[in-house]
Amino acid sequence: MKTLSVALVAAAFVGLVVRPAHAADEELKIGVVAAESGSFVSAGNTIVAAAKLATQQINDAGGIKIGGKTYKIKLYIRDNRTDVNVTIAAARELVDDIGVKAIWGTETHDFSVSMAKITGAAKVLQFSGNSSLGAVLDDKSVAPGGWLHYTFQSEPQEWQRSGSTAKGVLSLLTPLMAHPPKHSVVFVGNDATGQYLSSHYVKALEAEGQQVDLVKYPPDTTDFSPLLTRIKGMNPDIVHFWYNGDSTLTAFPQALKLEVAPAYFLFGVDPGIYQERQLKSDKPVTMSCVPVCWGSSPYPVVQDYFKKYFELGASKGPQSSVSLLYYDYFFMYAKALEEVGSIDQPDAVVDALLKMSYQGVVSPVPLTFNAHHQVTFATEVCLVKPGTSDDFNCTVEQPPPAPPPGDTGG
Amino acid sequence: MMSPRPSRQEIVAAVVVLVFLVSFPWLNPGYRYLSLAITTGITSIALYGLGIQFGQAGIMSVGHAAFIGIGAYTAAILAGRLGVGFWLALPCSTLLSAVFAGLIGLPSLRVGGQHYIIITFCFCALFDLALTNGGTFTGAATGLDVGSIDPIFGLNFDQLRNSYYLVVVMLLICLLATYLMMNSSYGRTLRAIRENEPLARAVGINTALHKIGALMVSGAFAGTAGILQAYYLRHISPGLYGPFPSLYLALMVMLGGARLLYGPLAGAIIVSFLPEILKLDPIDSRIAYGIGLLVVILLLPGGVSSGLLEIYRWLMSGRRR
Amino acid sequence: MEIFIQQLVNSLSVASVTILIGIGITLIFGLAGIVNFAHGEFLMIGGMITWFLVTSGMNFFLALVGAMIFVGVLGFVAERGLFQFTLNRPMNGFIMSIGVSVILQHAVIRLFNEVQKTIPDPVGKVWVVGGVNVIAMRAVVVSLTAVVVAITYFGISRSRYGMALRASIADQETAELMGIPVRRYVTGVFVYGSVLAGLGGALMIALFPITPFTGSVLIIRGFAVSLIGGLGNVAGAVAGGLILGLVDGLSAGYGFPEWTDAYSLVVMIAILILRPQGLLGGTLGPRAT
Repeated sequence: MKTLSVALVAAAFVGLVVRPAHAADEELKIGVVAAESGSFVSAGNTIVAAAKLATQQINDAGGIKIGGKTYKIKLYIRDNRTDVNVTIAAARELVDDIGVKAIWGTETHDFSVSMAKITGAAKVLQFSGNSSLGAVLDDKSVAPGGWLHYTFQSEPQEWQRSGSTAKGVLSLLTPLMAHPPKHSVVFVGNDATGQYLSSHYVKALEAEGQQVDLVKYPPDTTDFSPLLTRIKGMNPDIVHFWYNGDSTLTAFPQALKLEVAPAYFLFGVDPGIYQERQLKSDKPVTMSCVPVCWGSSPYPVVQDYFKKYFELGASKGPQSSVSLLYYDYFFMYAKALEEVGSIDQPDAVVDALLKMSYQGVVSPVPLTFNAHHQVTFATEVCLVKPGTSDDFNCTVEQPPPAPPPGDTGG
Repeated sequence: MMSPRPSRQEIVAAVVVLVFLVSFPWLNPGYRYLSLAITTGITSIALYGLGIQFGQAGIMSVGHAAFIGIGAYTAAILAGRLGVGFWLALPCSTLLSAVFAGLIGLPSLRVGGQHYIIITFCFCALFDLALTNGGTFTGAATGLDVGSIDPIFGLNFDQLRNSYYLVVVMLLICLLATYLMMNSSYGRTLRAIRENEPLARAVGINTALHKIGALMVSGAFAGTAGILQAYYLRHISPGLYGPFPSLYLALMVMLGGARLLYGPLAGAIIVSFLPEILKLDPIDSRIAYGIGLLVVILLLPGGVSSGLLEIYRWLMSGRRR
Repeated sequence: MEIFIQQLVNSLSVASVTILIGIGITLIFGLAGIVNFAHGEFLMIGGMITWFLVTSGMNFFLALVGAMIFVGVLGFVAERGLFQFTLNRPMNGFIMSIGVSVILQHAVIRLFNEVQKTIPDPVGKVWVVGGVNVIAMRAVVVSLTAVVVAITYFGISRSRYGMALRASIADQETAELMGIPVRRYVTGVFVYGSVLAGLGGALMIALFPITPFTGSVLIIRGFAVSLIGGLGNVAGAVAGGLILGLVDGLSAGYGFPEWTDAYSLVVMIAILILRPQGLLGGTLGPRAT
């Protein structure tokens, strides 16, 4: 009898003492897979920085209220070392060992696809900023049971970006040219992203009335003079340099020296970088950002974002704006969880996201996901005054409502 | 004529390796390490090809990744276009890679080692380019997607452990094949050709046949690795099979030791796991591999595995005293 | 027509850098018997040193000399510290050089970073001659290369040093017996080739940006050029460089742009298989092959 009462007292004592200290704060595990080292580190770092900023802001504002409890985000960041094997190992660790509910990443199309095979099977949400996913997001793959049902593409569909960009470029360049431009040459690196992006951009330009020639160069080209000379021989009105930023920054000065065209467009070159490199041209030059520019932000809310982003220690690089492809979706996911009321119902969360309209930083109009889990927003295009390196005039043209003729969408 | 029965050392080593490979998933490594183990195993199967080709026959190639690619793309194209699953595609991948390896090997009969190295590099670059420009047939630069391995004997391969054992079985087959080849008259002939080809020819050996044969075996191993990789990554693209991945394969096999039975496996494990365990930045780990390679060449020409063998022998001899 | 001439002019400057790297390799490979896969990294380091010196305020042409010296010393250290031990097993030397190339690439990434480096055009002028835009710096590159080629060619074929070098390749033991310090000559050739690589790197960064991986892209060209021309044959390296430069420029100008690399790859493979001793003939390379 005495033993029993001692045991009861001991149990009550233990029960009192061992009660969790902070019963209020639960943990929401979120993973990030990005290149923190290896050759894609400049893009990968921006994903990590955006995740950290969003997490800090959400947690500092009190966390997420889900089903009567308060959740704080716990970020699990895994370096993919720019290697697909490590990406898969990291995804497996996050999904199976740690048990995250959602993963943000990666900067590379191939890695994102391989990762989606793992997250999809485990009902873990995935947010990837690769427009090239459009090629695999179809009715079958996003349907319940499909491998992309839990994956969301946070970069606009390529035909939208191309449409928005084409409108912006032509609207900025046409007033400065001797006669309205008719003949465009699109110059792009012959790798996965380049092939994908250019196929849509060509259609977008054609829809705006341009006659277009497409020239693809080997991705590791450093001496562009033979190909640029060839383009010069085509007598273009505008040469559009698409993807990637480094190659464009190599080719563009060579094009200026060879006097290839009366006007230029540089995809993915932020005005901040143009200014930093002190580039100067006596011909009009336009450039676009992915998706909006940090060197010349169009809206106060974007300026504010970049101020906080750089304050956290992120470096000012050509890819800094890519962070905006990942930032807003932390807040959208949090809102969806609040609506569903539980962290263990991924199907309900997917449905909530598909119905949601959210005013984020990246776009002046609210963000929504379409039936194929893709967002829509405009791309900022800037014109630099000829003869200067820092006098910019920017525009944000909304994308067309439908894909242009010949473009299958996606 | 087979050599005499395996020595006690060899049996002990084989048992140790076997026990380790089989028991690994039960040592609670976690999914991350299990996944890395699978990809390491696949790489080492390809490295055994280089082991036969270079370690035994002395023909170095920096285009080996292309043969892995042939195996991978064969599997992906068969699955995507003809609905052929893993098990039927496996012999196709292996065979096709072997055939191509033989064809690309023909120039080696005519030119010297250094020339051949450049030629293999060029062929690999051409292969990469052909895949990139291959339109919808090869998926162009975006690549191809692959489904899962069809279950067999009730084993589902979406379960990581089962995939691991599949790779281990393939690896053991490779190890056995390598062992048998090394210790047979075929292996001795290859080594004779490696050491002094004109002499071998003078003695009546058909060096051309033997060299092409070794290259085809190497290709077969690579093809097997390729189809396993395609079904594990579930997405392949040209970048995986270009000349620079080939260079790293050559580096791995030299680091581990091309001539010893466990050399290729050691090389793959070192390159895949050391940076993990030491939490080394990929830049620093690559510098470490480079330095490791220099150390190996200058001090341990047989590779890390031969160094380990020396240590083992020294320990054993110390014991007996 | 101007476009065609423009393409020819372009090809010449592309060929120049390839020739510089090719001469280095043909001498080192053919005469010293060393296969140095890291030669491309020597060029890259020459470019990086130039970048570093120029962005620190030095005049380009002084920086160029600085780069040449630095890479020459690097070559000396590599030969004395590493390659001299593998002279009898060139395949080991080759594999070692793969290790060296990986180390150098990633050491540069560690030291600077992996972002491309560029310097402003040192000359900055563009001459328009009859509808053809000749970038002045490219003309400088071509002229400097021509000077280097001339020096090297006459040095090897006419000077006593050159003759002694060729003798030691033909028959090392006899050459040694005759008092030729073969080892020292090997080191000398290696350093000279490295200095050329440093020059090539400096000239290259004056033309376009380089990254730590630039060397690995060029090295195959360099080897192919020296093998196509014939090992040890300076004129052969020039011929090989011109041929590949021309194929490159014309294929980019008139072929399918996305297959640009393929044309030169096919040419390389064809010549290596059909004429392994090179177009103009050379040594057979290291004995152990």
